[in-house]
Amino acid sequence: MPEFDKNAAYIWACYALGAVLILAATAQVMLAARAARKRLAALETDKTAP
Amino acid sequence: MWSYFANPHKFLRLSDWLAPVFYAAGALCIAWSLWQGLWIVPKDEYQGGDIMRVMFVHVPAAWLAMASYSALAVASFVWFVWRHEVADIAAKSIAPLGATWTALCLATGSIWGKPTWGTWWQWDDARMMSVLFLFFLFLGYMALRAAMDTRQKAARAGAILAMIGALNVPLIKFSVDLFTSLHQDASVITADGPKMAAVYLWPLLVSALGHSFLFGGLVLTSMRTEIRERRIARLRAEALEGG
Repeated sequence: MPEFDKNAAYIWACYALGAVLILAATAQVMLAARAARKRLAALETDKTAP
Repeated sequence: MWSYFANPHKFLRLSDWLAPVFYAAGALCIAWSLWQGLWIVPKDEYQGGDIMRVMFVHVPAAWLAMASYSALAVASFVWFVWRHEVADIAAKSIAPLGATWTALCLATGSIWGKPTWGTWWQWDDARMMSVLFLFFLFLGYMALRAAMDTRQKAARAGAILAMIGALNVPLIKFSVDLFTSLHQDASVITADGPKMAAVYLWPLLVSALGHSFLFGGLVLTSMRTEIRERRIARLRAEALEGG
């Protein structure tokens, strides 16, 4: 791990916050996409079913 | 050009391969800039030592906050004038992601401010307050859309707010020139070109590019989700009417 001066805690806090926010946004977008895809597929299957 | 992208089927075909390309490019650029920012670039004593490494997260977040709001305003304008549904879908998809990157900008700026200026926040600072106002504009846009009872009303109210709120973007950019601010002056996007040494500038630009690619990929995926949600709503309405 890199070693920083007395401000190391502030630096790591910024990078950790960046990682958490971006990963959370990515996870939210991916989960919403998957849920919509599944619901649409189920509806379209119902519609085409005899 | 607008008409071509206004077709949801063409948009779905294009975004099907474009979104993964954006994710891959974003991940590569961010990984490289992280490695540079944390391990490679030397600390800059003029900028307070190692704390300047926060720049590789904070500055791309700040640029993206302004760029995303500008994109929101442009998409809203396109919907308002031409009524292209894909433009409204884009605006709706940009808002929560723009709010996320604006929150990241505010939080990392505050963390950088404590060791540099001795304070987490300054309530009479034009740069800080105008970015905070940008964050509230994103939240206001989402709340306004959610409060409307039809999609058309939501799109119209949101578009008007987004276009008026765009006046805040140049205010953010020039706030450090027009008002007294703790925030440093622009050092990359200036009339005389970048004032920053290349060893810091390149990782910063690549980080900004990576954030932009990732943001673009997420917007495309959110737009695809919204198109599917609208199709689901239409199918359910048809099912109710039919039976």
